Order: sequence, then structure tokens, then C-alpha cells
Amino acid sequence: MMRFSESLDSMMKTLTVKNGFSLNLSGQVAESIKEAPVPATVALMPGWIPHVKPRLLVKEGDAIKGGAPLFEDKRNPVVSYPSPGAGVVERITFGPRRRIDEVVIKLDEEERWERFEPISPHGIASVAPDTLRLMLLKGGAWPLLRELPFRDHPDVSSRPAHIIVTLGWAGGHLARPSLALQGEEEAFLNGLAILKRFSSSVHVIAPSDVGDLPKPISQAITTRIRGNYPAGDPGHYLYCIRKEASENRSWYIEAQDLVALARFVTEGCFYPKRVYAVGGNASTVCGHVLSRLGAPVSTLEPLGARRRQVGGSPFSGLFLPATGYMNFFDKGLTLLPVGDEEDLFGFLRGGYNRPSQSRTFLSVFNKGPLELDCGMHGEARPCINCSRCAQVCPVAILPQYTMKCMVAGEVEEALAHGLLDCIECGLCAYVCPSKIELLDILKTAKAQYRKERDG
Amino acid sequence: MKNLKQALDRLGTYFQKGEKLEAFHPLYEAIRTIFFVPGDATVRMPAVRDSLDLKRFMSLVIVALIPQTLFGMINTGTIALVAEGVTPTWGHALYRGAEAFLPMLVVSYGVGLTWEGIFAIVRGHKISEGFLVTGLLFPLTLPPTVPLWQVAAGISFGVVVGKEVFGGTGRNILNPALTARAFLFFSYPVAMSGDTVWVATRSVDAVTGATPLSLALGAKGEAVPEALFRSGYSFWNMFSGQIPGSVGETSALLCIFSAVFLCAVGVASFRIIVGGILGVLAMGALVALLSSELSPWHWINPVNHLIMGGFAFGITFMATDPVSAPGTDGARWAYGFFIGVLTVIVRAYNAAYAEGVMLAILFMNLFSPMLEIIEIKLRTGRRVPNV
Repeated sequence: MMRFSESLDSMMKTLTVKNGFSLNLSGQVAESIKEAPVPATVALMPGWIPHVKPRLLVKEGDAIKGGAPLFEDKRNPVVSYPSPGAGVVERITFGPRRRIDEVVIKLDEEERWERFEPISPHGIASVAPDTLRLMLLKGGAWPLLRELPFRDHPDVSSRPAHIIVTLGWAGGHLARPSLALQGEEEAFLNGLAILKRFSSSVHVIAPSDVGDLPKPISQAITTRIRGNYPAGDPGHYLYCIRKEASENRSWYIEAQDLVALARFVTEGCFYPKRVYAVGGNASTVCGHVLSRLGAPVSTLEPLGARRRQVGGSPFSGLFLPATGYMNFFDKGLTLLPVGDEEDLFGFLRGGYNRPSQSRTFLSVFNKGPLELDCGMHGEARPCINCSRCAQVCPVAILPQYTMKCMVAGEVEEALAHGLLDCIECGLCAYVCPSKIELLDILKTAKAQYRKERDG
Repeated sequence: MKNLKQALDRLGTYFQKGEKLEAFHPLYEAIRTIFFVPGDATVRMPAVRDSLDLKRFMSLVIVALIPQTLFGMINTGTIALVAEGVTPTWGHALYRGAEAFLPMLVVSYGVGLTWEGIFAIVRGHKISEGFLVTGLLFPLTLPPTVPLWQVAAGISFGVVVGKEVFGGTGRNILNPALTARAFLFFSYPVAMSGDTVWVATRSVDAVTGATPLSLALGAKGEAVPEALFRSGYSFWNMFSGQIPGSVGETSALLCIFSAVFLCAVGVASFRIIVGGILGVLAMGALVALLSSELSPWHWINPVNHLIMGGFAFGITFMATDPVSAPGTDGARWAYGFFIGVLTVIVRAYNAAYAEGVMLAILFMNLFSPMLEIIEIKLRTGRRVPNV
């Protein structure tokens, strides 16, 4: 289902992906950018970061410098997550089962940042990987790197087969690189140099339409990816290029995070700037917003009518609380109507305006943008083995059978099906007519397997 | 619309937790969800869900069955009127057909839904809409003269033994409608086969009206096409379905329309249907080649196998039931193909059964998990391992 082709520019390849799925939706993010008002508070949301077991290093009322460790990971306390700003810890809220939902920091007028010994851009090529590793761990920049297949921060001693730098993907709701990387050419290239210290195989992938990129960055792109969502997701790209099992353990990093990582190394100070793509059909902004890590949702998009906030793509993003903050990794915010109205004879209508992957509505003839909402659009039912999930799965898992393996406790079989190749794109659960929580089941299974394997 | 909602809300208060009718909540919910798709918002990722649900999925099969049902009634009425010596008009024929068929339909839905309701209430499940298809498919596969108590017995067996004992919709191995039909076929063969069950006249004496398949079985050698033609079964008659047979199964032409519709909306798998047709043609050709003076009745044009009997109906509506069919592409081709092959084998080599498609589909239902496992093993073997 995929094809590589070499372009005239011999350095760059194009990967065309046939399956996957995209909808023409209203509320697309326009190619405009504005600056968000300076927030009074920023926050880190440990409960929204996958896999980590946070142990707080601060308590309410503590003064904290920007970039100083806010919590460490109990599984390996060397890894800590940084404070997104400098000020006073205003409140720490807990969710169900003592999950740490938010650590909110009231920002000082003049922010003071934790300082580290920088490495000059020319020195990167000669610095020992372990020195870099230590510096990233100390400064809280290590978690900006992500490790496949679990999408956790990399194991401290891990040696990745590949490192994939992604400039975004179709339907991934990341900020357009042409806007997000404006003026960051040097940091981007420094970042690539840093990654080269960890692995000789660094891939820079980008969707086929990235906009006008600064030349040094567009020259650094190794593969352009054509296709529907989620083509170009780093996990999906790895699935396409890998030849043997040893390549499964690879790292990826998003372009904006790479810039932050490089600036941390060369400037010795955590870099909080982020550009967010704000869109969705309940959004009034529908454009890019320049703000910072952990910014309150309300500064990106004014609070409005009933709606739901999703961090990133509607297919794979997490719900964010209405009064919440942007998650550590989010580069996008999608606002959608709640969709909890009952629908008279909903299943008998022609459905010219109903978004669907199937051809069961008249919307197959509707080329115009459609409106998504967060409704279930039906009731939960047993699996009828219709295989719609298998048709859309970009990594050729058979989600319906893998789900049944997990329900029956057959972990080995689920792994043989390719459970760990799952890139958590959410398309299987989106298309399921029986409304089975396939994504949730597969994600939980992956996390559970990981927990048992690593103890 | 508001009034309807209020009325349903008022009715719903009796079925709430702690109220008298709490146990019957599945029934209330089944009624309510016919009118309103519930307004539940997503709780887990992904935040958005497709507009397609199982209700619409199943309703599209019912939409595809409407032409079959109408034509089946007109055809049944026409044959009955002709047998009585009356010149049929469309309206008259439809009326007579409805007189024979609608009671069967009502019994099928009534008895079947009662069983569904009982199981839903006892288990605390929701009533699944899959039955709406089963309840319509089943009477369409019966001769128009079948006694109503047999319809009730058949659908009871189909729903209870064919589906609910396995755990309900999605867990059944066999197609419930065909299980019901097989039960009647083997329990009451006199009412289900032979030459006297196909014409629903009002006279007391049974009227003979052989189906093309039973004629073909009775005729010898080169005489098969002639025997068919002599009885008025031209290609067009058989293709369009103006022949005696089970109520809904006779028209291959309408089945083509339905099959194209179901494949176009993605409810039925074209792989099963095309595979089935290829299977019939391949095995039909082989059987015809192997016909000898000792077995002259094997000589039938393979294309005739497609339009005689219930093959077209079975492959369009029964074989494509997603629950009892395999879910992987390759297995679907094999499944369809072997249904076609087995249909012809049963027809040609088993003198006791004129029709083979029912048995072929039920037989392949049993093999469908195995076909799936083979394909899954092949596919997982090709993957780069990731553990």
C-alpha cells in the first residue's frame, strides 16, 4: 500500500501512501499567525503524558525557576519534566485515583530561568553523546524526544536505530512548519547535528505541502510524504521503512521540539516558545497562534459556547479540560461541538452533510467541507466482523481480531498481529459501526504489555 | 417531534432504575432508538466517530430487500392466479401474494422479536438490529404455502439455537435465517420441498408447480434444457424470476441490483459475491464436462446454475452476512468461491436435494473461522516482528 519514488533532487524521496483516510472538514487552520496575549499562568499536566509515573518535586506556594524540574518519573528518577515558566506554584489539582491533573504556575513579571553550561554550535559535532545525554536529562529536555513503539520518553541508555524528525503530517493538526519554524533555521540544523550524535540514521520527513520553508530546512528534508491521514506520522513512517525487528526501537521528535532541544543545548536555557495550530468547526480563530509551552487554552481561543477541546488531531488527540492548558507535546488545538443532541430517525436520513468514511450516506457526493462533532452517532454493539477497521488501518493490523485476542487474554497472539506497530491513529475506532472503543483497547493493551515486560 | 420526545420521555419513566418495569428497559430502549439516535458524546479517544452505526448498516440491507419482497409477492400471486385460471393483474397479484406472504412475515418478526426480547431482558443486553434482517430474510426463503406454525418453529430455532445460545449477535457461527430454514427443511421436508408447495392457491387440492431445479433433476441428459423450455422456463423467465420458488429467491435480476447496491454502499463484500459466481461457473463447467451417459442429468449450462433456485439470493444476502462470513479479503474470496462450488456439487450429486445453496452457505459458515485463521497466519508471517 505504499510506494517510494526518487525525485530529481537525488537526496529527497517521496513516499506515497494509499490507505488512510482524510475528511474535508470545515474549520481548517488558515495560514495566518497571531500572537497570543501573555498568559498569567502556565501549567504542566502530568496526567496527560503517557506512561510516566510522576513524583512531584514542588508543592503549592513554592517559587520555581523556568526549566527547573517539576516532577520526576518514578520508573527512572533521572528523567524529569521541566517547569514551563518561572513563578510560584499556584495550585496542584488531582483527578481520580490521585492522578496529578495540573501543576499551575503563576508567572513572575520577570521570569528567571535555570541556566546550564551551553555547548557551542561548532562544538556539537565533537561532544560525546553521553555528555549530551546528561545535559538533556538535567535540563528536562530529554522528554522532548519520544521513543517508538510506546511513544514514551526514550530509555536513558537506549540506542535508536533511526531518529525521525517530523515536520507534521496530513490531518495531524500540527502547526505548519513554514510558520512554526520561521527564523529557526539555525536551531533546526543544530538540532539535526545533536541527533546525529545519537544515531547515524536521522530522517527528516514532511508532508507534500509544507508551505514556503526556509531553504536550509527544506534542503534537510529527506522524505516527502503524500497521502491521507495519518501518512507521515513518525510511527507510520517507521512501519514503511523498517526492514528488520531491530529497527523497531527508534526515536522521533517534532520539528518545534527539535528547535527547543537545540536551543537548550546551545543557549543553556529551556526554550518555551511554541506555535499552535488552532482549528475545528467550533473554533473562531482557525489560524496559528504564537504562544508558549503549557499555555492556557483560553488564551489561544476565547472561551465560547459549549464545545470540547482536543489537543491535536480529532482522531488521536486527548480531550483537554475547558479551563485547561496545552499538553506538553501538543502543537494543535481542535475545538468541536459537543454533539450530544438526540437525532430523530438519524439512521434513516440521506445524510448529505454527515461525515463518514463509509459510502452509506449521501455525503459521498458532497465534496464540500463537512462538520464534525463529538457525538457517538450510535450505540455500542458487539463486533460484527465487518472489517471496516482493517480497511483503514495504516499499519495493516487487523484491529477486530487483535481486539478479540486482548479480550481473550491472548497477548502473544495480539503481538504477532502487530499490536506494537499500532500508531494510535484512532481510525479504527472512528469507523467502527458498532462503536467499539478499539483505540482505547489497543492503547491500553500496549501500555499494559509494556508495564508487565519492564516490571 | 417534540411531542414524540416528550411522550417517549414520559413512557421512559416507567422503565427507570427502581421502577416496576425496570427489567424491560431493553424493550423501551429498542423502541426509543428506532426514533432517536441517542445523544451520547464520546468519552474516550478518538474524540470523533463516524456517522455510520449498526442500525444504518442493517437498514441498508432491508432497503436492498424491498424490491425482492414486492416482486416476490407479485410473483407468488401471479402464479397462484394463473393456476386458478384467472388472468392476473398487477394489483390482484400483489394482493394475493401479500395474502400469502404477510402473515408469514408477521409471524417471523413477532415470534423472533419475542425471543430476542426475552434474551435481551434476561441478559440485560440491548436488542440488536441484526434481527430485523433475519426476520425478513427467513420468510423470503420459504415456499408460500408453508404453515404459519412452522414459520414460528423455524424462526424460534434460528434465533435461539442459531444465534442466542452462542451469545447473540456477533457471536453466532451460522447465519440465523439459514439455520431456521435448514431446521424446517430437515424437519418438515414435505412442506419445504417437492412439487406441490410452490403455488399458493385457495383451492384445497395442492397444485403442482415444479421448480426449474426439480425439473432439471428429473430430466435426463440433453433433455434438461428441453424439459426446462417445455415447462415454460425460458432463460428470461428464470433470470427475471417469473417462476415458482421460495417467495423472495426467484429473481436473479433483482438480486443483481441488490448486490450492486450493497457493494456500492460497502455493506456487502463484493469478494464473496464475485467469488461465489466464479465458483458456480467453475464447478458447473466441470460437472457439465464430466456428464456421461451414466450421469446425463449433470449436463446443465453452468450459467443456468446462477439463475435457477436460490443461488443469487443466497450469495447476495446470506453469504455476505458479515458475522458468519470471514472478515479478511483473501478468506472472503475463498469463502465465496467454495460456496459456489459446493452449491453445484450438492445440486448435481445429491439426488435428495434439488437445492444446494443453503447447505453450501451453512457449510462454509463452519469453515469461515478456519479460512480467517489461515489468512491471519499468512499475514502475520509476513510482518516484521515487533515485540
